[in-house]
Amino acid sequence: MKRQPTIRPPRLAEQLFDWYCKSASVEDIHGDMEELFQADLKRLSIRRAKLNYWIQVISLVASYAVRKRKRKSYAHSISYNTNHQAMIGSYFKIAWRTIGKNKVYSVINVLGLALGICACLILYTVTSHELTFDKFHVDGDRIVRIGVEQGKGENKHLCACVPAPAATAIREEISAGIETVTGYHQYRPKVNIPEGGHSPKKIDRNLSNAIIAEPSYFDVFTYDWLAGNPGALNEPFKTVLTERQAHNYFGSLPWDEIVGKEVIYDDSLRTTVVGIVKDWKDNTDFPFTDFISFNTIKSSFLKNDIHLDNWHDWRHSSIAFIKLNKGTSAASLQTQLSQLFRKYLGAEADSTLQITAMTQPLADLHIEGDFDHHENLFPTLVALTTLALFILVIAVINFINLSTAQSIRRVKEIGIRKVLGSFRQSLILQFLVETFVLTFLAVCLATLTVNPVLSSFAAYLPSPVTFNFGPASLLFLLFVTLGTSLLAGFYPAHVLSANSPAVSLKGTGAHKGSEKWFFRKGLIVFQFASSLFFIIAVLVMGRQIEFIRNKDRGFSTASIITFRTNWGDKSNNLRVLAEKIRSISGVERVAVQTVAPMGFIKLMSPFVYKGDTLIEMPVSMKAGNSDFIPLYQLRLLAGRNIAESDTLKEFVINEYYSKALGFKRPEQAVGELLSFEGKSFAIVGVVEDFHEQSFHEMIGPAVIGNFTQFEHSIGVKLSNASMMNNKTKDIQAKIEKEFKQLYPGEPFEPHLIEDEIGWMHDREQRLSTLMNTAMIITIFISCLGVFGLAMFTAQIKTKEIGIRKVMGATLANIVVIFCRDIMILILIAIAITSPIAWYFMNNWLLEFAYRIELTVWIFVLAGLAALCLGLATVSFHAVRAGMADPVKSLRTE
Amino acid sequence: MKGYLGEFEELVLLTIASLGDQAYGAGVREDIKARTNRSLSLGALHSTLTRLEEKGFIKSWLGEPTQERGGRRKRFFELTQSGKAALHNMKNLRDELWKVSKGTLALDK
Repeated sequence: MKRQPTIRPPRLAEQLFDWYCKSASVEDIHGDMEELFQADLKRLSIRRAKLNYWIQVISLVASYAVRKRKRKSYAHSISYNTNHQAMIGSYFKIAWRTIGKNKVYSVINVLGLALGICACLILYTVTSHELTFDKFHVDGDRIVRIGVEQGKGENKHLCACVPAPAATAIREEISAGIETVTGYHQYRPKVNIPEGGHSPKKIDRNLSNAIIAEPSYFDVFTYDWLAGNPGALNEPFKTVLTERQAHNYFGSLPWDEIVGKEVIYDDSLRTTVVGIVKDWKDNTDFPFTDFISFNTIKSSFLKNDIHLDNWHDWRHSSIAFIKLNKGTSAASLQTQLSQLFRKYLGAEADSTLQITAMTQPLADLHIEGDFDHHENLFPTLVALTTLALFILVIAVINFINLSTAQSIRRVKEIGIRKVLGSFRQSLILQFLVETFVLTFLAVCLATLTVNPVLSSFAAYLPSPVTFNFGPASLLFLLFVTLGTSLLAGFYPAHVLSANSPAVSLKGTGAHKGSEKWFFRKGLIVFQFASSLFFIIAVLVMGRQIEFIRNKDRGFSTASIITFRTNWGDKSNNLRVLAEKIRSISGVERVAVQTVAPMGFIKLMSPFVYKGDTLIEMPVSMKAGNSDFIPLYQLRLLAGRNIAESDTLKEFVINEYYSKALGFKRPEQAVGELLSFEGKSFAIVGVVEDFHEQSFHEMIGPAVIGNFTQFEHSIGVKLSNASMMNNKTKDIQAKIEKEFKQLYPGEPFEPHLIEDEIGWMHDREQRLSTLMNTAMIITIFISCLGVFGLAMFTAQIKTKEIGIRKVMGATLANIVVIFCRDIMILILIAIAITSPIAWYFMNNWLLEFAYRIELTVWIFVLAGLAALCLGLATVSFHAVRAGMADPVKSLRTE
Repeated sequence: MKGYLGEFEELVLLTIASLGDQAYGAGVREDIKARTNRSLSLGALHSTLTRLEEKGFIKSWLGEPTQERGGRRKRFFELTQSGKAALHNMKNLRDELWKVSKGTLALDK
């Protein structure tokens, strides 16, 4: 019988109605709706008719008629209930058997899902850890940090810090809405603990995390006091320690004996312990250990560093917190604070200074960061989330693909179940249970592997974490298990249960060109497109990083180590140390400097050149003595190196600056005078441009001179011989010995300059590693999926191949048949991904001032890689199928 | 008088009566729509039919499956004795009231 194409009522509406009515007898009502729909079709548009149908369904679902019939149906003896316990048990049993029967599929599925879920678990662990920071504070919702925002748009400068006198001014001038204001200064002193007649116990700078705090600090932040009270911090030369730090300093003395002891900061700041507080147990960004009384500043050397009456003394270590009154919002204070800052920072007189106050709630501080050394974590977390979900989706796609492909093997089972009276819902439930069991296995595998994986990736995560079982993480696991089961299981269950028993028992499966077939191919294309994206990203990032590493920076880094001494040191120790190191054997050359040519610190200062016109511009100052240029092998284009001297006498400038000053040839610059801070010195040489900052920044004008006041670091070049003989460690030990004699208590942290330059591109390195991992995982999962599909195709094509071979097909012919399909899919994937990848990678590269070009070759290479991978995966089965004996394969009936 | 008869209920009862042995859900709806030009949802109609059946004014049975309804059967309705009586009562009441108020109800020409 030929069926006419009829327009059916909207399927979803029908399903909704059926689902709502369950077993109630509503056949007549359903018929009425159908009749109405057909009548509507004759006089209205199809869309209108469908809309009317929806309206009818909704009116009926809400009506008394259906409710009444449903109520009646519950009393019916053969009412059908999907939640039959006995059946659930049977589903689990069948699921287990099916999994055992198709071991390869099950392993592929579980592995793929486990990878995806593991990625999710890592994301969960990292995110939940980062979200725990500073959430425990008493009245934490009322505590905000004050910061300053300067400039607009591109030139905007944010600082989570305030000028030194700000806290006091806020306290005096703004009263409405504020409960407490407190200001403190971060300070990393080295510590001496006098121990009777013995020499004092010395504690390194990097072990103390002190703040110079007003007593009100303890009104804003709540601590448990083990001894003493905050009031004692009103006097100068007092200090409060945390429990752990007190143990560090004084061992296991009882509290009342520690109180009253002396702690000496930076050799001359003698303070008395007046209190001990408990350390905060939870994660915090404010793990301070020593609290020095604020009044100490006025009466000690600290006043040289912290200028309490100078509004232009800005530094990252000066912080202010406000505890708001109950019911006050931080936003309402913002205008007042901005006004106050503008008043004192001179923005009222000078309208070009755009200054506004910024408030950050305590609970957001960890994620938002302080715009300085503590970066904003939000983009990292978003990137991790995207990546984890992406991997999970690819794994789920794999699952869907394999299960639907497998459906053909199960049509008979389903047909018989249906004939024996199984409802569609119960079949769907059965398949969902099967998915659930697989997902559960995957989750178990993922939980087992997550901690080793986390520890091996510790370097690439914001902070080291481990996955622990707790109520929250169990809930998350449950959520992931159920979510993944539904996501992965719903479509296959839907497809499998849809076959009519007559068709399925005849044994014909999905036809080419049908919806399912198309859907599956689409999924494979998506998988390969994502793999390709990552391959391209990895290639581009790898090449850029290679470029950064190998590009001529204008100076040599070979076998040079650098280390800092003491920034505040005004003595001649630096030069003494340099001299001592110079005499160590194996050391070739020693320079004193601010930093190496390329480093995190860049000092900018205005320089004036009085030529035909007056040229004033900010120029980067590279402080270094006469050894600086030879040590780093900066290439002189004209003139000579600066002469040895103890003071600033002459300059060497870079090529960029010489051009900026209007000299056509570097020789012309030699002998000209440059003014710095009112004094003029001669330019004696011009060096080739060299990189000072990361490759994100353009090279700018630079001056090299012996700016002695900025020199506090030493660069040491080791001789080739000592590098060859691995003597670096020995020499470093010798240097450290000299260092400790001259700078007791200062941490000795030597770094290879090559490493330091590497850290400047830390973000890129980390991103690149992340992309590498993502690439490996996506490729692995995609190949697993293709492998499974190829195996399946080989199975159902056994007879076809047998016949082809009997008719004279060669092995090559058969392999081609297999590979053609997958090749087309990969080509489509390449076509889809290339523009997207080009867009993203181009944007990424644009962040660099010095970068590689995106060439077609990268895309061709990535495409070839994907093709090879896909074909290699498929051809394993293709070859096996092609080699099979046709007699055997045709006999299997 | 057994049970109160609403305006819509009366309309549905009368329509069922007028359709004779062809009174089923969609048919009743179509007829009411044609006569009164008011569009009503199947939900409202079936709720009223259910209530009328509960009150004992109508009874129903399922017919034979038909092709145009996707092979689904129709449910036919028929007035019961008490349904007819309720309609009669209603009509008598109306007639009486009309008789009394004829003068006042005359329309202006």
